[in-house]
Amino acid sequence: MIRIALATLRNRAASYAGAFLALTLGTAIIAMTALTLAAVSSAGFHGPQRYAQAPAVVTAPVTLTLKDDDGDPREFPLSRPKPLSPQAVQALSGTGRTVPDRTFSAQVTGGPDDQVGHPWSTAAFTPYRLVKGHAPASSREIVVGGGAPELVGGTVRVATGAGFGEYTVAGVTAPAWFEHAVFFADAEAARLSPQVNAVVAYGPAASVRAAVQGTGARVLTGGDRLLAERDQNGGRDQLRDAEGMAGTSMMLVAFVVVFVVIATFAFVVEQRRREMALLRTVGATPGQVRRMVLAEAFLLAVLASALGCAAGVRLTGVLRGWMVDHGVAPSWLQVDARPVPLVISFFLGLLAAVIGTAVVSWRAGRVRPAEALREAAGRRRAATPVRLVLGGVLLALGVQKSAAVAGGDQVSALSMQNYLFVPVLLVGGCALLTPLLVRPVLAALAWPLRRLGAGAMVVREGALFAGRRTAAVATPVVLAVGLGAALFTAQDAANAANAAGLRAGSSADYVLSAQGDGEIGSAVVDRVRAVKGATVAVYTPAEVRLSGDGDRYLGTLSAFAVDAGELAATRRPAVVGGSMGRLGGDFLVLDRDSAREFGVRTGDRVRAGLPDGTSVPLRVAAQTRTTVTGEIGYVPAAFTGGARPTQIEVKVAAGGDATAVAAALRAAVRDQPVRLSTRASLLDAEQAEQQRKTRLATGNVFGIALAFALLAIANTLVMAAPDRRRELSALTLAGATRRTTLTFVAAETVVATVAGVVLAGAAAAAVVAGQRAALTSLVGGFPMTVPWTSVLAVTALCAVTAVGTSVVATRLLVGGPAPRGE
Amino acid sequence: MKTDVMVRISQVSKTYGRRDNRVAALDGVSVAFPAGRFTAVMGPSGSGKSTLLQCAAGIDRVDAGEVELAGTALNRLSESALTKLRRDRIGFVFQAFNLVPSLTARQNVALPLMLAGRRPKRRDVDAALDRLGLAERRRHRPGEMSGGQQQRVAIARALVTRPQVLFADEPTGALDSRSSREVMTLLRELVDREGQTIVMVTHDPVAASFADEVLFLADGRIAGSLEAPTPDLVAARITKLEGER
Repeated sequence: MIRIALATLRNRAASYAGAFLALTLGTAIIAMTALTLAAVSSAGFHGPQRYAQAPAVVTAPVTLTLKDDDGDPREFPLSRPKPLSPQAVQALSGTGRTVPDRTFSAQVTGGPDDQVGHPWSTAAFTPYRLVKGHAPASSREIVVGGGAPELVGGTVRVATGAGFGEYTVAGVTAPAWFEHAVFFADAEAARLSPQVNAVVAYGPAASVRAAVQGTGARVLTGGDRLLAERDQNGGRDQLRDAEGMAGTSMMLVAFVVVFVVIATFAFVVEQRRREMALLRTVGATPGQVRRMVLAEAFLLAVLASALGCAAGVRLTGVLRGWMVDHGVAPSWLQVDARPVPLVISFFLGLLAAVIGTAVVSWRAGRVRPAEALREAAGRRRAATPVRLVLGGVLLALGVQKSAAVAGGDQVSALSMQNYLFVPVLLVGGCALLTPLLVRPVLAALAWPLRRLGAGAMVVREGALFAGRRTAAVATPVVLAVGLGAALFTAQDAANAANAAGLRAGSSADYVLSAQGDGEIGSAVVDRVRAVKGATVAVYTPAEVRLSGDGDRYLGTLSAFAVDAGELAATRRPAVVGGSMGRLGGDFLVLDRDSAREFGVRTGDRVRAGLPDGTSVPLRVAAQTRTTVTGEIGYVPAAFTGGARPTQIEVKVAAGGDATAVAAALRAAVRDQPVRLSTRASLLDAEQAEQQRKTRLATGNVFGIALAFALLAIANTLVMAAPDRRRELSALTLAGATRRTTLTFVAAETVVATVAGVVLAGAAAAAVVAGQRAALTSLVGGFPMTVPWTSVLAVTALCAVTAVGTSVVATRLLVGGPAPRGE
Repeated sequence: MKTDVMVRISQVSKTYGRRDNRVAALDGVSVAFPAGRFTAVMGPSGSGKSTLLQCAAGIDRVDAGEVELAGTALNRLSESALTKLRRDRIGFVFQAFNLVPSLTARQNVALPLMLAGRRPKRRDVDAALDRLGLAERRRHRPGEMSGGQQQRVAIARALVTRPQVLFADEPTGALDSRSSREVMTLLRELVDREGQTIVMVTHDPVAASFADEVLFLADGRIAGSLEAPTPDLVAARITKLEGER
């Protein structure tokens, strides 16, 4: 039987080459995204990194201990541990060599947002080594970690909490993955950041421990040294964007590939129905025919999937390069050929091919030989019951999911990563139902052609008669255009809603924000507070860990420490429980979804662990509606827990002089690493940046899927071309020139494509309508835009691919006169 | 001459189409095909002759009535059981040859044996081909052979399982007159030399004249028979039948 299977493989070379190609490339891109996803969703590094060569690190407490639901203690790292007490620093000096370590915000102009400053002497126990230049010899010299060698000798401006400073770059080191460092001379570092964050002690561990006894300091050795580092997740935080993108890509790509491969393999079997009937007449049982076709598909799929996996490993370099170049992934990211994602990709491809074959061959094998031989080549039911049921189920799930988001979890409509299910389900459902839906659409589209004579008649009847082929072309068009239109439009809507929500939630006139990931120095805060005729609200981001009775951990909230009156003057949170009036000195305001998640109600008393580990009692004073920003939390201005302000919002007082306020603000931030903008322009700039980023991500994620869909369209048409030989010869014999024949083929393909686009439009409209309902209930109205350029570009690509391929394939394959009867 | 009955068809009806446009292809036909004889079935187009053959050979199902092959009733067999019975006991030759285009002549002939799970002996397969004068064509694919050669491969394939009955549906329909004569002579020899039972549908009076008996069908019913046919007698009967419609 295998020999027969192999022999038929040889005969249907064009079809099988198409199926093989589709599966190989499909598995390759699944493997590419799966490998990348595996690489970005696991920690890149283990154990202490910056302190890897430090024997002992002495710090103030770096963890907060709370109890989990079972009452067992659990340690949480502090985001801003307190500085080491001067007594402890003093006591350590007697134990042997010690190096005081400081970490503070220090941004070189034009450098990365998250640069931090350290004293140069700490470079000794960290992985930094000079690659050019020399150590800082004076207080005006710095070494830039991971800086370009050309920087050496030049002068740069560095922003710290103390303002701007001019420094000469004395040297640069090789980059380190866990931070972007700027090294200052020790004395200069002490001037910029007087507090000592940690001391690295080289003396005997026992005497180090003895020395700090009673000072509250903690001596970290071995694996515990990790607790003193900024990045304790082995780089996972830096991979979060990449993980989101790879996850979304993986889902979308797997969906499109599985879909197309199933359809392609099913198409191959459909093309062979006559041959299968023939085998039935010479004594093959239905089971034998099915097994033979499945064996063929299996053989082919094993080869194609394996080849695809091998190609996928090579392709990871391309995706990695793109993500690094566009700042989605850090440059240290390595994508290795791991076995598990490859095995998954292999079996996904194999399974899709076998399923596609099985569904059709099961039906084809059941047909009685006489019936099968009689059946005309066309006019066959294009849709299998399995396909229709599955399509219906996908549509129903999509509608249900869409309704669930609109009715409750509206925030997830803001993120394509979370909302992706809806477009995938709705567009997928429509694509599956294409054979059923394409007929009425075609009939409607072809109606105007009725009066245009014989040519139009041939095209119309051809498209309707060969419903299977029409549906086969239209299906990938539905996928490509539907997903493209839905994703691009939904993404824009999410951005617009986000901007509208932010606008609605703020009443400030001016916003001052720290440059990059830096902070606003206290001098600037004081100067801004002194501006007359304005209410000034200083926002300090403080991550708080909430605990209930018996120190039971409830959850972590990204809150702002802010004065209650200043908050009321500059922001307008929609209160849904409790009251924002008379907040007092122990208030906690948080959004309803977070409150629900933590299990707290208005009026409850909780404890909050501040960034430096201080624990304070709070009262849940009010709950706000969950809005575009997701979680919201406010605590009194006193509870910054060592964190520094990053944003100041200014509201011009009633009857105040806006121009004077603006001028005073400009003066206050002159020559400071603080950006002053009007609220409107800041929001516009943020929206534009958001738009740019998300379009880039969506474009990339969707681009992979689109490329594959285009291939599927071309593939189907090449595979279908030989089947038309007889039909087109008949046209030629009836007096059509070769040119006319090609025009017919092109027109028929256009009709199929347009039918696909119409269905895609319907699916995309359903996605966007559902999302809009969700977003409207979240933020009220927002302007609706359809990115027509992108949508039309995708449509045009599909049309050009379809028409081009069908004409070229027809020309090449259907050259000669009518073939003799077989 | 007393002979055993190989295929017995009793009160068989078969209709095509849906409610609005029903066509009765067979309308209560009863007929018996004797063993070791060559029977031709003739009739105007649409008379149901191909349907009769397909029902008798078990590649189509009847709506009512009984089909019995060498004592086995076909109606109650499952699709798989029916296929196995066909594979072992029936050979079928089509007008359109129905060879598998991707397989060589030898592979096509071996196919029914392979499907039956037997290991085809090359000697047997080659003997079957040789007997039909295809010794030179063993390695050729259908596309590389003439119509007559293809039909002879099809006959070799039908005979390779040594079937009790050979059914032939317009075996000369796609052949020129010389090839037709060759194929018909071959079938006649099979009956005379090896006692093969053959049931053949044809519309060609010359082909029919090779049979022992011609059975006439019109509008799904038996419309007479003719022993020891000659082309002229057959043509006269057919012309008469067509005229009566």
